[in-house]
Formats: sequence, C-alpha cells, structure tokens
Amino acid sequence: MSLRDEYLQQALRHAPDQALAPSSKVRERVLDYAENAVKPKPASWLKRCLNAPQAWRVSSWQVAGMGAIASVLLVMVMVREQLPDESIWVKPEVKDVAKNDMEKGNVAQNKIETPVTSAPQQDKLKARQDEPAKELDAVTEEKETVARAEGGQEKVKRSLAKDLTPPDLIAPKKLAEKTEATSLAKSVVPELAAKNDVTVAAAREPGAVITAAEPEVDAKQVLSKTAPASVPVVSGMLVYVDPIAQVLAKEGGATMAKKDIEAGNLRMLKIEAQLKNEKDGQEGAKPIKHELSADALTNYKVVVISACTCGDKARGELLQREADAYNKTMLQWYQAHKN
Amino acid sequence: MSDVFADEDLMRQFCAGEAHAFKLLYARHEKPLYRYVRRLLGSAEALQAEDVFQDTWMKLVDARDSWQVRDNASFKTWLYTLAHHRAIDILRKSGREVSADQGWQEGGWQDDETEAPWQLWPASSATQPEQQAFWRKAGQQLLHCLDALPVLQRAAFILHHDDGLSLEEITLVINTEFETVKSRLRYALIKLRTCMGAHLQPILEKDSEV
Repeated sequence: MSLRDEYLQQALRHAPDQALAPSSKVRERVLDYAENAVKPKPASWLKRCLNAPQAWRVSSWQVAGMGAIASVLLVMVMVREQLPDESIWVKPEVKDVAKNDMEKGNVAQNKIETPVTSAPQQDKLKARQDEPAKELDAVTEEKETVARAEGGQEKVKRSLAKDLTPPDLIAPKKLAEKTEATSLAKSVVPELAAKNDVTVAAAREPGAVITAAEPEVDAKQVLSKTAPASVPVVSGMLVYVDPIAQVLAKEGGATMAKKDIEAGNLRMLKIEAQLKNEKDGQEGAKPIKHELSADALTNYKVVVISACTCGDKARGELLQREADAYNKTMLQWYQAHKN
Repeated sequence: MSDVFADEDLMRQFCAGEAHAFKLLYARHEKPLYRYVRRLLGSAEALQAEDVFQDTWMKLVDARDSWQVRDNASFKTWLYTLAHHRAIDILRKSGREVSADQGWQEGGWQDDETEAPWQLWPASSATQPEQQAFWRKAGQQLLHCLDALPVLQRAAFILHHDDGLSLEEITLVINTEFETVKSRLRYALIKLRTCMGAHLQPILEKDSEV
C-alpha cells in the first residue's frame, strides 16, 4: 500500500481552503515583530561609555593633550598634598613680631613658639603645656576652698587680685615667679574683670604658647602690634599701658622730645597714673584718653598720659622723671625758638 | 529573488539582522502554514487558526538565536514543528484532542485497494468543467473527512500530502517514531478513502448516468 494517495492529494488541492491566508493584520503584526526584533537597540550608557573612544576617533595629538592636562592636574594634587600645615600661615604678624623681639633680646613672659607642622606634634606640645595649667587649676580650687572655709569669697578675690596684679614691664622675671598665680587667675578672671573692670586677653593666638621657662618676648611690642592699645593683658602677658608712656619709658624723655621736635610735634606731657595700689581702692585700668589742653607758657598742647603704674612706686617715679625730661627739652626748644 | 535563496539561507540572513530575509520566508510559507494550522485545528477550532499562526512566527523570531540547521531538520521542518506544538496545545486546552488510535478499533475500515471507490474517480489532471466540479466537491468532502480523523493521523496526512514533507521530516514534526508515523499515515489513508468513497460514490454514479 502506497502512503501517498494521488487522488486524495488532488482532492486536497481542490479543497475550498486552498487559497486561504491569514488576515493582513496578522501579517503586519508578524512582520513588524520580526523587524523590531532585529532592529539595533540603543546601547546602554555603560556600553556607550565603553565604545566612546572608538566612536570619537580621537586623534593622537588630542590624546596627548588630554594626557598632559591629566598629568598637570595629578602633579598639582600631589604638590598640594605635600604642602605644610596651614597653621604656619595663620597670624603671620605674630610670628614676625616674636622673631623681631627675639632678635632685639627683649624678654617677656610671652613665648611665640615656632608652629609645628604636624598635627601629632601640636597635640603633644599642647598636652605638655596643659600639664602645669592643670596642676595650677587644682591649686586654685584648693585655695578657693580654703579661703571660703576661712571666711568668705571676698578674701579669695582679694588674694587672687593680688596675684592678678599686672606684671611689671621692666622686670619680667617677676612674671615667671607669678606663673602659678597667673594660671590661678584664669579661673577667676571673668569674675574679677566684672568687678575691677580689668579686661584679660590671654595670648591664645594660634602658635603662641605661654611658657615661663622659655625666652620671653617684649610684651609692649606684642601689645602695640597684636592687641588694641586699650586692651591690657595680664599675667605674664601684656599690661594695660599708654603707648606714649611706653615710648617715653623706652626712649627716655629727652630723646623722645627731640624726635617730636624734629617731627614738628610740639607738645607737653602730663602723667596720670590710673591704677593705684589695691589698698587705695583698685580703680583699675581705664580706656586711654589723651585729654588735650594748652600749656600756659608755651601754648603747646598738653597730652595727658594714662599710665598704669600697677602699684609700683619706683616705676611711677621713673615715668614721671622721663616726662619731666621731655617737658624740659620741649621748654628749652621753645625758649630757643620763641622769637 | 526569493527562490534563489533556500529557507536556511534566508533564516541565517534574518538572524544576522536582515529583516527583508524574514519577509521572504514569511511570504514563502504564509499560506501553506496557515492551511496546515487551520486543517489541523479543524472546523471546531478554526477561529484559533490566526492566533496559532501568529504565535508560531513570533516564537520563531524569538528563538532565532537558538536555531541551527541539523542533519534532518530543515527550516520548514522547524517551522511546522513550532506550529504543530502550538496547535496541539490549543486542542488540548479545548479538550478536543483524541488519541492516535481512536477509530481504528471501531471497525469498518477496509484496506483493499482493488475495490476502493476512489479507483473510479476521474483523473486528477482532467480539465473538463464537470470534472473540475467533481474535484472541488471532493476537496470539500475531504475536509469533512479530515475533521473525523484523529489529530496525529490528520497531521501526518496533511504534512505528507499537502506540504510535501517526507516521513522522516514528519517524524521530527510530530516528535514520534518513524514506524508510528507510517502506521498513522496508513490509518489516515484508509479512513479517508472509505470516507471519501462513501460520499463520492453517489456523485460518480449520478455523473455516469448523465
């Protein structure tokens, strides 16, 4: 028996469904589906990035240029990383002042240390410097406790005020002896300042560290360059003092007068000590006021100097002598040139 | 141009991204495949024919990367395999699938070629109008007879007689043994001849009287 029947095959070819075909919609759907399937899809962003160099077709000189820019940037970053700590640039004037004063041999309680460049070193130094302060703080507490037990806060303040007495500018060695009292004062300063109108500005500038054992810096110069004239600094630091009085004490009355005459600055000086002995009532420091008046003889202006003698009688007399010398020189010049 | 390239060449071009190659393939196999699907589903599931047809092509598009020419498997075999399985799924879901041997044990089927009624049929190459009308009626009747065949016998018959697949290719499409295909095809022929002879005999007698 044959498995292919020609008659049935012929009948099949004449079947009414021979010419049937799917609808045009089905045809379009299938063809569209196939077309979309092989249509190149937009590459993902990652693929585009990976293929970007090929797509750009960058020329060799462009590659070289980009490489050079990248290298420069890299070097800049590396150099930046090697730069020293920024702390050396903070308050450069303080550093300069300290340097100048050291060269001049001036001594004071203040020590402007060379800034350390590394953070660990700074921390180490700080810890070392804080050690005595901590000990002194403990002493202060002890003192306060004892004083209170003895009879009251007034005594404590008085004893602390004694310790707080502004340092002698001429004899800075005394300040070293008073280091303990200085630290002690730090804890009571706000209270005392309110009472006595004494403003305290401890040298807390970055890079400036107070040490009693180290060589000292002239407080006057530090004051004149770093702190406002009316802001006194206590405890081994800067003391309230009139700038004119400073110059007077430093240069001497005659020299200062000659300089003023050469500069055409004709005037007379009058000393007015402000801070009296604590026994006299502790008036404390006041803002500098150069009260102007005219001298009866010369008709020069009279400048009143507000100087803090800080209870040091000898220093007050010395300052007065220099002022007298100044006035004398100025008077001599007047008499020589009055006509 | 579509005849220049074999199905496999066009399919390779399509896999390489040539959408035009797919259009040629589609045009070449559109009607035969649709006929096969429609006849396999039968008149009861004829409405599903377009869906099965569409799914078959889309499946082919999706699976294009896994397609490869095997020893006995041509593109046409693969295409009809996809369509066959999809149609069988539809028939299974509709509950109309019947076993391959259904009807064989019911009796009445004769395997005697000498007395078969189709021996009296006019030649298939006849050109006379009356004879053309006869074949059109025969074709219509054959579709009815196909509906009565088990699905796999029907598939074997259509693939072998309408689409020209060899028994080996039918083996791959139906996914069964070669001998099984042969027996199913034999059963299909016997049933169809009997069915066709019973319906066409009166027509032949009437035509001969005229």
